Amino acid sequence: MAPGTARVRLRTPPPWTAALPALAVIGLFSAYPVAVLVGNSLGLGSAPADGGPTLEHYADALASASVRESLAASALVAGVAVLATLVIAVPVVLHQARQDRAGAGGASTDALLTLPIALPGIIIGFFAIVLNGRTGLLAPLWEGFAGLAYTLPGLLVAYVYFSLPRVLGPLRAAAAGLPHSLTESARTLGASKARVLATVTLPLLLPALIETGGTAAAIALGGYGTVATLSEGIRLLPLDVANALTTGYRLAASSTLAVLLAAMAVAALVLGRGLGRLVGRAVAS
Amino acid sequence: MTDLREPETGAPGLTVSDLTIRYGDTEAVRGVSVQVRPDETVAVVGPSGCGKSSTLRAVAGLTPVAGGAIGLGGRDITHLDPARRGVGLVPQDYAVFPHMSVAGNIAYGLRARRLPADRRRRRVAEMLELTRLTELAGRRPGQLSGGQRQRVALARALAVEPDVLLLDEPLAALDPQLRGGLRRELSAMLSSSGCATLIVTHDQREALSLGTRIALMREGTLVQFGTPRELWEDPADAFVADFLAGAVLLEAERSPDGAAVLDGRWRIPAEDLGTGPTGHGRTRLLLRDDSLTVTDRDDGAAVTARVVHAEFVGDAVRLTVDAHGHVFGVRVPPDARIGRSVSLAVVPGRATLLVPAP
Repeated sequence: MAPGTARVRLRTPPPWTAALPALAVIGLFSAYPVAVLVGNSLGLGSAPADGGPTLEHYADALASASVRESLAASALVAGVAVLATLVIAVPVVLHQARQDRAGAGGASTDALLTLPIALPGIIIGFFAIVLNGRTGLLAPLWEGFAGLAYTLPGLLVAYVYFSLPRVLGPLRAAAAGLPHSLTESARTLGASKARVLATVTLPLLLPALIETGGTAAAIALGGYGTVATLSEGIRLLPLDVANALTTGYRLAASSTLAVLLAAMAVAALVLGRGLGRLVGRAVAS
Repeated sequence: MTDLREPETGAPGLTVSDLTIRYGDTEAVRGVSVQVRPDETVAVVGPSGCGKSSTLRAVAGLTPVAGGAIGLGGRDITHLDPARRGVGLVPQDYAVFPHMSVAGNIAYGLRARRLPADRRRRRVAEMLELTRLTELAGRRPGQLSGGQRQRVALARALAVEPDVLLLDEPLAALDPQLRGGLRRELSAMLSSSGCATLIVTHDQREALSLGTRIALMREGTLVQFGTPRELWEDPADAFVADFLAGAVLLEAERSPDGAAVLDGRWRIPAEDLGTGPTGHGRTRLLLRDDSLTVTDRDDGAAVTARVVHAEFVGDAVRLTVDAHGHVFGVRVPPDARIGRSVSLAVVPGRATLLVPAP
């Protein structure tokens, strides 16, 4: 071997080393805290509270009616809100794709629709109170609006508003990637606009819908701010996590709920990704 | 002038009369009239931006019409919904539905028309047969080659028995090496389908070989509409000659002993010239790639030209020369010694003087 080539080889480190900094960050800020949380929830946390490995905390949590209610409410709110968000988002992104093609892409509508992504959930909670609180802006119009913010429908509306900008971006890219010639060809073949939507546009958007929906549900599950401001009636899981920690520093109980919450969010994300890819392969092979 | 709209849109086949298309303030198409008879293929050809694709999209109902009328199979379809026009569109990218099988793609239009299942299956089988896709009926488009996808799009469009088939740059998306074979294949399938066909292309060879008639467009207007032979032998103007045949068309003056071109600076003796009739009113000289040669003669029968560019093309060197502001191409043997200027003469019998019929 020529000495020159040996030197060159020394200078190029194996490719996985490039991932090291990222791995270090993930290890420090994700893997380690998760390990600590899981440890706490299994009774392996620091003494004096915990005295050895046990599943007791999980059993307690799942036996508690209030935790079960929060779990169900969290799953319901995240799931229904994201579904509603997708239903609203599809016509918006299809309209945007049409405008883009016509060269009339409205940068301002775009900004207006995705701006709420910058707003923390707690602000969105305040919006809901300002509009639909007991003395909210809409309260004089119909008494049903008064205090709506604190009910399940009110919470759903707030979460839709929270999820919409997070869904619009990725869906818009997916809609823009659909060749216009597909829908045009379908129309010339005799299909009505509704039929084209049902047989061409939606099936081809489905993988992106599922994946984006999963991601949005994961984010909605973990969102604390919105529900914190609207927490009068319905309790969601993030509230219980914080509550267990702030009232009496029940570290093990809090960790257990946190692990449950994280597991739900990750499951939503992974399910969305996996299912989206699977459907994608089935739809466009 | 009488109103020709009514009888024209009432004719069988496709009738585009006085079509105007606007995008904002720009007129993409101005007063274009083209007819496609039920059994023929018309190729609309022209450089990019000439309005040929807009014309096709207007026929399909995908671009609004600003003026004029479009008739199809005796119906006025100028403002009809695209789903009800009865056109078969094959877009440039073929737009085969990726989430349906080959058979599912072909059946799409039949399902949309709610054809009963047994008739639908029969029609799909016919189309698979016609486009030789029977073995691939269950495949997804992702598993097909470009040529096969084109056949799927063609079968899908023909399945609904359209009154006109619209092909947008049918061969542009394919490898240049494959185009010749696929062009012949396409030509055979089109003639066996017996459907009026409008093809849009920027490739003059495609137009010449696929079109029973050619409509040549430039900057939104129709320059010439006729059979390939008419356009080849009697081009309407220098643009048609250049675009379609790479030929040069010069204004000429005929005299008993020959013809004078370039304002009389080049006199070509009658014995070197062929003649042909023209329907375009003026005497002109048509020079093709093989019409000229470099000569040692230095009399009035030759013209001096400046060499602009020399290009080795294997069996010859192709010179681009400039004579009094006109650019010509001339081939010389690869070993010829070429200076800065050459004397050009016509090869006897290879240049055609187009003479108006008396």
